[in-house]
Amino acid sequence: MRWPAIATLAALAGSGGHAAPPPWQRTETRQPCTRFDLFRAPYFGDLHIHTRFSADAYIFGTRVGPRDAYAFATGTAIPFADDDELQTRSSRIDRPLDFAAVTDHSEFFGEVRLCDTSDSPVYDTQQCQLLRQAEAPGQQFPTTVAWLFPAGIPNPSHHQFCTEPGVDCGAAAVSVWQEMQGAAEEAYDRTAACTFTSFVGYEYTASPLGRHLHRNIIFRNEHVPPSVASYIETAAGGIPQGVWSAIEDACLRAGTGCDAVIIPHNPNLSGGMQWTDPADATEALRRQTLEPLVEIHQIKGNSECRFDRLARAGAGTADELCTFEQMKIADQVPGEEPPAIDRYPLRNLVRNTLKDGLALEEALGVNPFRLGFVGSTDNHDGAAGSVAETGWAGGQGNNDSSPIRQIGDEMRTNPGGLAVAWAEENSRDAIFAALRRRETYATSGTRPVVRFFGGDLSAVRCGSSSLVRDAYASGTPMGGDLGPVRGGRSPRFVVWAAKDPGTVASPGTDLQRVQIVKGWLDAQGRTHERVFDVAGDAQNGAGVDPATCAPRGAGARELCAVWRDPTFRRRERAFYYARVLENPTCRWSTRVCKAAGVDPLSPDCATQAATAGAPFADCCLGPDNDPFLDPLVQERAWTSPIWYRPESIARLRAEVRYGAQPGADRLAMRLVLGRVPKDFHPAGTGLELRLSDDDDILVLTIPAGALVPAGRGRFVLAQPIGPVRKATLALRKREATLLVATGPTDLSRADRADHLITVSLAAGVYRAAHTRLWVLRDGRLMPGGR
Amino acid sequence: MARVLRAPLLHFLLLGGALLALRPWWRSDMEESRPRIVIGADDLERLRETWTEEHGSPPSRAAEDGLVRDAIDEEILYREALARGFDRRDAAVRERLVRLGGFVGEEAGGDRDTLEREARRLGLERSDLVVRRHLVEMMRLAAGWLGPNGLPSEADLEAYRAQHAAEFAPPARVRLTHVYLSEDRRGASVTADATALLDDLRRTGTGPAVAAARGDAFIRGAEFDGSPADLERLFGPGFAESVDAQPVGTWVGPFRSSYGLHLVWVHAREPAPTPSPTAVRGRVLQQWLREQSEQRRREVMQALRARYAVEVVAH
Repeated sequence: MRWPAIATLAALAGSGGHAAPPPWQRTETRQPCTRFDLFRAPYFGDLHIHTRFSADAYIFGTRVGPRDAYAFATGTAIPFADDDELQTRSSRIDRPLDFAAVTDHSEFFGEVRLCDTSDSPVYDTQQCQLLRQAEAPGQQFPTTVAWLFPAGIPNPSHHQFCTEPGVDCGAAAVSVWQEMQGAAEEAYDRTAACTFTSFVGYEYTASPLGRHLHRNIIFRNEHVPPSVASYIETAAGGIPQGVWSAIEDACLRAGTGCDAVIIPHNPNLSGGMQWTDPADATEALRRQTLEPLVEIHQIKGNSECRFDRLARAGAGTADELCTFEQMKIADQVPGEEPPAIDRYPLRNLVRNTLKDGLALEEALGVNPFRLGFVGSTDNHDGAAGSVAETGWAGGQGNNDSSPIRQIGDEMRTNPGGLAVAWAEENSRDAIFAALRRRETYATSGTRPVVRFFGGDLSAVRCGSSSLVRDAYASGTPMGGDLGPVRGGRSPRFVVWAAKDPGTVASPGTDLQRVQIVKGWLDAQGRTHERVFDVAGDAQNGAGVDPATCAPRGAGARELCAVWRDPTFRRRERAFYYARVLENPTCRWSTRVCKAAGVDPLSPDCATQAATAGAPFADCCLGPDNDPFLDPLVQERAWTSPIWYRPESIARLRAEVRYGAQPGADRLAMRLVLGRVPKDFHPAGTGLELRLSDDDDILVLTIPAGALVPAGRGRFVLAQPIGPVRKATLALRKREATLLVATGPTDLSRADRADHLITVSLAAGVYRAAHTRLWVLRDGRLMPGGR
Repeated sequence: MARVLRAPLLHFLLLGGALLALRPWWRSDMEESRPRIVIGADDLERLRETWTEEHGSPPSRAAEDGLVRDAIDEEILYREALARGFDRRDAAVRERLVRLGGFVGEEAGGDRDTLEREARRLGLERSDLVVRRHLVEMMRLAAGWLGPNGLPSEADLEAYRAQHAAEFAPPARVRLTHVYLSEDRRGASVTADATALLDDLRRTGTGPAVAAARGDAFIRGAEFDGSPADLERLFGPGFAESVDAQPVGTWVGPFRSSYGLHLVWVHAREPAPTPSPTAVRGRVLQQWLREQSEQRRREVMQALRARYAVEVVAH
């Protein structure tokens, strides 16, 4: 009985407090979900979708709006633009999504609205006619430039007509923003069935000189700012600091219940500028807090890593699987040629950026690039989650509305990926909390299930029915961080993956193998990476029937491994993420080419292409003649990394003892850090210790200087603070230990049930958090694993 | 209802209706000689070429028949649209003509009306392909118009909802425990293992609480609570159908999933709760309109085709 009646009432009252609470607060009024998993389930979504409110989508002929996008996500067919921008095509998702966010480009909301409204004063202006007129893809460039240039210049302003008397682009933008909120609200299932979660969101589209520094803003609930802060409104504050400030002011600090995460995407088109070095530790912390995720895969390419097979070289990597779904270009700077692999900007790629984050953490004490992973589509047809490689309807209006345009113009794009969130239930609070703690993974569009944990995990066994429970008790899931484990050996990692179960039309593909990708910083300050195969078989011989694309040969339905890093060193900070590879399948383009009579898998491809017409020549690009393209792809999933930080929480012993009467509970805790955090001095650094589930159970603030020296690196609390009677901090060469004990106090907010509890520690810019399953034993609540 | 009014589909229907209302649908003075539509060798060649250009290979015989049918329907729709004066009333068509007038007109820089007149003087409303396709689509929408009396009464809607109760009901829920036997792990013996375990569970009266441990660990856990569609999405195609109609409170199976075999204990099935008519009224209305309109369009097209004499060159 997970939701006793009293819990329901409590939840509706906004205070949580049922038998086994999730580790997040309920911030909205809704029915609790019938289905609630304490150890979480994977929910599949798309956090990047455009409709006609995005000026570029409008120019490409898209006329559907946010309501249609959510309708598409839940299984309704919607119209698509054809070559002439008429809405004669139609498509339907192969299986509904669990969650989605429409994220239209916010820069021209007002302008698009006024140009799309026939009685507006500017309707007949040339600028509006440009937006509405139909043109072939080759002829769109002038229109696109005329409309989007403010997003690419340093001191942008709204379009000229917005300054004319009687024209209120601001009010029109708000009307779009409200329509987006209304659409999200209508699509959100607030009943106990919890069939679909929508998020209110938008895209910030700073593109200085054609470098994409784009970000999606995803809001936690219906409390959102009254207007959007686009690049135009925030340019003066810098990129992206301007939009950070706007979100902090209008949302996070507004006191309205607003909460948001910012998700950078397409670093592969940023010309290396998506992530710049922070000015100082404070800015690094700000970035880490506001931007917990990156969209690693979408229609306009993959951003994990890059390998050029013709040059036999990678951008900071030797990983040959990094040829996957690469765009040729590194940005959209006009007139610039795609760079050779040795000149490709390293920070266009997530893996390199994660490595740089380790070096910056060593120097600053904070990792500015602690990025978990999501995938999404960036679909500009409002087709949320339209990721099937078979029968893909395209994603960019009339740029890819017919086979000839798909192959001729958009060969290097792909249907895009999905965001997967490990959440207790399918509600906004639950999914958002997963995004915030990075317990997410990205897929290239398919739906494998992937668990990934790191930590002590000494009780964890593949094949055990208690694997997940044991892992939550003694380790951190994807997205979290780890201190040293007992004995100074490598932490254990467990990865458990199951294939996409598939559909009738498209059975799931077997798994080929599971890898763990490690990046680390050595004692000399150099970064490295290495890829380990930990399960499955790279040589399983599976492939496709070249005639039909049907799978040939078998792989694994499931793969599981417990792994220790043979190259682990206690002092070297590192990250680890799992990459799950499916067996090869036909790429979307292979299916389109074959239907056109040009078979990329046939030796006669070139002859067939010559008959079919020039654009179909690209069908024959592949391993022999292209650095990246391959008619066969290995769909894949990437889990958010787990970071090994020598100064993070290494061990925790704790106990909540419930008293015989209210107010007589006690807490005792011993917390060990693997080393003393950088720039930490008890005399000069205040310290905050927080114990929380869906409530704050105990918040202890120790001001600088309250811990006084007691000899041999020990510091003690001179006088009690609140319920805390004793606090002792011992700083040693290899570790720091904090002991805390309360007198009788009220800890009733710690629910008397097995559940996840987070202990977090903040001191200066230092942050560490430790979430584990705590179990109730003999009336005491304590962390449940070694 | 507010929500329904914002639905794009309804906009299309209303729009089509508004246009169609401008002209009586059936002409009483049926001409004796029907207007002719000829699909000649040139047309056929053009259709083949366009197809080949777009698809890379020439159309099959069946595809070609389809192309010819579509071309005839398109010509009919186009002529009917012009006959109804859609080209003079539609904003998008006029927009296009203004633009074309600007390109080709002798009086550069004229006002919108002048440019549009110029385009018409050159007959562009008849020759421009974009205008033509737009008019065809307008007419297609108009053909599906249900007329001022076409809206359903509340009684119609209620009857329709009752007829399609399953489509509008929230999904039924099934709650079950399953014992998983991994095909990867057990290989060829998985079927024998499953049958043996099923016999054993039944014989020993083992309940669901302890049975899961007798099988292999399943990544989505041993308990399921959700709709048949959810079941299908977790276990793979066909699984919901296997479990459907199985008795409650006993071991059944084995059933095949994308991962292996499963023995299933259904705890409970909650039939789809009857939704309040008001909660689903919007969806019911939309679907009713969509269906009726589609039906209407088919009838109108059939009637229109009968009014033309169509000749197709042998192909």
